[in-house]
Amino acid sequence: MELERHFGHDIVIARYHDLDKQPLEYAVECETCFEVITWQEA
Amino acid sequence: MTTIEKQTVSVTTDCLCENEDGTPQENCYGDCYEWQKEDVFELLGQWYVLNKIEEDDPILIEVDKIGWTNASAYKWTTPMELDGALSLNGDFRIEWYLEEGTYNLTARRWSHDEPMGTGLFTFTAHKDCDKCGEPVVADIHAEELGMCVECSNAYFNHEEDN
Repeated sequence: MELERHFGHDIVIARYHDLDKQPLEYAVECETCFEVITWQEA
Repeated sequence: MTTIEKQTVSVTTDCLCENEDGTPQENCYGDCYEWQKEDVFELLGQWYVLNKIEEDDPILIEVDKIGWTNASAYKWTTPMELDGALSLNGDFRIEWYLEEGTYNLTARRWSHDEPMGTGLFTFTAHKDCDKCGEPVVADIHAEELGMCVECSNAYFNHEEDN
């Protein structure tokens, strides 16, 4: 089952990149408490 | 699910100086830390420009889960000292994040007492109230024509005339 909520909060996909706009990694994060749920290499 | 874009830079006291080809330099006297700080200055500079923050503006730093007790904390600083405001007297790593679209700045720190990382540091830009000088959130300062809510209410209710 796909995770859709984190303790009742919405979750978001955060795409991280460096100052040169090069992608670094992805994370699934809680939109409200900012907790990182999973990391993934870009 | 919403996707957000974040620019990120990091500084660590445990860095290694590298040559241009990525091989480690024979001697490292902390240059790599200074190079990383340049990236932090660039990211913070973007945040200042995007949010029209001036060098004396008060900035409120807030965080939950800091130190070995996982305490909550806050601290006032200014752009002149923000880059070092999260530093510790010891080894640490700090990641700074600038979110595209919202221009929100956040950061997280790892250290001996914070092996899993702190909570997320948030940064709220303030301006001094033109009337009383108290710090007021920059957005409210703009909405209230340069004043805090109390001074704005007093001004527009003509309480000063009484």
